[in-house]
Amino acid sequence: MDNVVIETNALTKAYKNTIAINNISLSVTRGTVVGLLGKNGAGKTTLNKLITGLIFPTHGSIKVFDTIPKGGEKRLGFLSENIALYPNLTARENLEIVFLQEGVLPKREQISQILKTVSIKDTKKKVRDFSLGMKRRLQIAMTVLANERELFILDEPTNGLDVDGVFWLKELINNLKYQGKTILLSSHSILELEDILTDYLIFNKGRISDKGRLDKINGKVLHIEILANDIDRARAFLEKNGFLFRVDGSTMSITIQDNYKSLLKVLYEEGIFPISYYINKKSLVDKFHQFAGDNNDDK
Amino acid sequence: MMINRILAEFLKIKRQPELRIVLSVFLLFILFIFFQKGMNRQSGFYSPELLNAQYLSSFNLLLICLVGFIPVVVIGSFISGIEYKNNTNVFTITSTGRIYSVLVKIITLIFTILLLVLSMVLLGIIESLLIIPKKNIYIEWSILIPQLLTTFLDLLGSAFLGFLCTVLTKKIYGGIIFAVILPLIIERISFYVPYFQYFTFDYYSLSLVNVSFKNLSKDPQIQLAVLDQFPFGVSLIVCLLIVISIMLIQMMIVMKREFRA
Repeated sequence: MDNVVIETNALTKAYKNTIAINNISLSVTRGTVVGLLGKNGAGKTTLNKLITGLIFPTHGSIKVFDTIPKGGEKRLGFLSENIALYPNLTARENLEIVFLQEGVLPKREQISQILKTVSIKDTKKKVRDFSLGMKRRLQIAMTVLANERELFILDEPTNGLDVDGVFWLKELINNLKYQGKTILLSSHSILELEDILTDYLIFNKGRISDKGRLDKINGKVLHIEILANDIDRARAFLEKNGFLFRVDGSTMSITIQDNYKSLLKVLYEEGIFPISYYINKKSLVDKFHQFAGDNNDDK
Repeated sequence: MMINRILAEFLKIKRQPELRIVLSVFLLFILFIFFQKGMNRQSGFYSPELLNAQYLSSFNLLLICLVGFIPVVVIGSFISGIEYKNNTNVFTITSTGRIYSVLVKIITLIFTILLLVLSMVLLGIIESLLIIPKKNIYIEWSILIPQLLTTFLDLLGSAFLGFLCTVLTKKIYGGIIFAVILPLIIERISFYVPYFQYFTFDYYSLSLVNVSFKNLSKDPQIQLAVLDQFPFGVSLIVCLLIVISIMLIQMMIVMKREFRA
């Protein structure tokens, strides 16, 4: 039990007309990097806010480090989806606030070192004049680098970051991972971050539709390109035979457990002739397409 | 260390142009009045014979009581609303906690008002030295201490009003406007329902002003209002209770509120 950092039991958060989080029970263990995946409005940010104590559950319970979250948990660092900085101040002053707010007088060298890590050189420039990427880097620095934390909740950390920024972030998260920190990562950009996750939770309409360890994802996916006229027949055939699949234009991606050749043979027999095909190991993206559903209602 | 946390709050509002403008205008007004009273022989208010350190300190304190409402409402609103303005509530609450975050702001506000009140006394002393440079500075504390308490409580009430209105509206300017309009509404209600005034902060703070600033009654420019005066102690306790109530309401709101990330 000591290893459990976050634990929820039948956690529910309802607003006037929506149930944002619906009866979720989960536990997150120390040292894991958990990816929270789901479409807009699936409940990821609501769960983050419940963990940080910014909002309260309607039903059920949540414990972070074995206490009910109400804010002010010193072991937790939270990076919000939206930019949360003091725009009239410089990057250095923003970082100074982080230290002062903890009751610590900041050391000049320490802040210089953090600024160097996030590649912010112009320390006299006000934050409001920063690019979105620089603002994001600074916010990440304020959350991750300025204080010793054990648990990090990073909500859409790649928002506004360019390619270099995403690589920098991945390196930073990897470092935290090796230090044994626990990280919860919400992101729309699964492909960008898949290789740093150890676990995943897929949300669909406020519920967890799938969860597990990344190294335990089994199966393969057969991708076939077929003629537009054949799509409806192929769809009907795959549905009838209980296959998991998704359609993207003229490409169908079908989850398979056994030999793909037998499936191709059956398709030929049905009069469906793929123009081309390729096969790959089932990835988190396939899991996402399988379990994230098609809700797109932004909250 | 609490002092570091207070420094953080000051740093947050350090470069707010609106705040700088309001405070500069206020300081200029105080200096203008002094100039008219102590330096400008043609002003019609020129009365240097009155202006010793004691008198100028009292005069400045009374002046800030009367015209300090807007500046302190603006200070209260900025201290409270800077997090709402920048969406940094998320950051403050997750790192310091709900009660602590509002408590630090309240202590910062109390500290600021205290500094403002004491600076008025200091300004009074400097002004007296400007008029007669080699004059001995004499201050009668039995007069000045009740005046300091009165001014402090009066300004704190106004600052807390700005603070509370900003917490309620979640917007700095919304809070300022609400805090400025509210006393006018209360005054209107008191006009039609006279008993209502006995429940207002203004009534007791005005009573405090009347009792503690009697030493200025000889000044031809100052006319203290005639009203049913309560003893100093009673008015002080009522004002204090109102201020504490506002503070508790602020804390309760922040305790119960859900914040967006």
